[in-house]
Amino acid sequence: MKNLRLGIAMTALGLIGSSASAAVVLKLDVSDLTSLSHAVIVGQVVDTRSQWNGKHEYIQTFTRIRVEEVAKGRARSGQIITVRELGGSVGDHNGALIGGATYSPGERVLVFAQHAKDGTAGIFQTVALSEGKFLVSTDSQSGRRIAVPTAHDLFYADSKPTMFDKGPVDLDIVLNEVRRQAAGN
Amino acid sequence: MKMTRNLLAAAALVAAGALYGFALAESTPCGGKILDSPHRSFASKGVAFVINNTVIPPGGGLTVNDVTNATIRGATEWNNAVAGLDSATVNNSAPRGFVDDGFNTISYEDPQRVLSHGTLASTYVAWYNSSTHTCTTPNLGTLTFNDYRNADLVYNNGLKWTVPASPGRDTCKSGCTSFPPRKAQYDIDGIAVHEVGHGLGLDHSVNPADTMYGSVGACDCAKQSVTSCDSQTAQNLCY
Repeated sequence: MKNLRLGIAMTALGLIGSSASAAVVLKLDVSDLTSLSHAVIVGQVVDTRSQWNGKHEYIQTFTRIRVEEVAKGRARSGQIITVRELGGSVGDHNGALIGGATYSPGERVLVFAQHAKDGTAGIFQTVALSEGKFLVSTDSQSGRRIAVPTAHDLFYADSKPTMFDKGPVDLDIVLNEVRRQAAGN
Repeated sequence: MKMTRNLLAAAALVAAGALYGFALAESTPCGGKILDSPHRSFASKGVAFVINNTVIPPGGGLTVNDVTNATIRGATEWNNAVAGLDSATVNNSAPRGFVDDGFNTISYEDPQRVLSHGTLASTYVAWYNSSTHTCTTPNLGTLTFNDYRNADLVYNNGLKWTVPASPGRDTCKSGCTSFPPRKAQYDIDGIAVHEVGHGLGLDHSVNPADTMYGSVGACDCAKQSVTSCDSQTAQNLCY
């Protein structure tokens, strides 16, 4: 377990070392992330598609995620939800929202999602950029699922401690906390 | 004392990099870092930022001039590191928000409503795969940079800001509130320095005292000046 956690921590450090840029976010614990989310789900990324927005102002990427488990919200297991983030590649053009969440097909993820702030129906966005996205992995020794933070290049306002400060956390602990918060306990 | 801490932090980064194998090539000897994957920066100095201040964010009695002056000062602080690097002026006909049009803008209140909850400010950068420049850096060897064509900075709505008492004083305007969290105010000047640093091509520093360090607290107005390490790192952007 310890070795796996070290390995994951090394991977996370590698991601930090190679990622792109930064944005200013509040440092959020599970209770904060939950209260800001309309949906908290575990699922697998089906595909991604990048395109210019309607006014050709910026590139945006739509990610489809097949829901496997719901901790908060109205989504159902088996349903596909769509998450939209700024940034992506269209031909020779590249754009990146600093610190934004990015998704890759096949990834299993825990996502704290809010309804698209511009009101687009049926579209979600990740809460607090990459702070609201976690990779879901399995501990090879215990067989338990763990949530691996993917936050990268974020400029944190405040430095309060969170349960993710030491790296991956048992996924069931996170989901139970989300459900407890969502139930108002 | 501060220098000792910075050296220790830089040494820790080197040790962690050696142990974990993450990219150290972009870290300067003092612990600063430039963006990679890919390296990106503007192709030449004289990067012009335009501020649209028709809407300003809420704060503790801040005026349009308070916010505008702090933003301009923060955005142009990098001229202390590299003479002639950037400028910031007010132009209220400039587009607000993220618009990949070749004009580098700074605006407030997330007019396109695209920044998620919990986000205070963010920068959208754009570049072509096919447009690059190569140079020999002071600390990092020969590097190839993708040329930025656009960098836009947006301050989010729903958050509160403060400004320094006066430039270079490292203290916030009187009355700054840090608690409770929903009322906390953040230094718009220091965050402008930090975000424009990213817009120019810099990544986070390991030194807590640097403007390019990865966190800032409420009512922390001590991040408004480019430090010697920030400056040394900026020299590697190659203009």
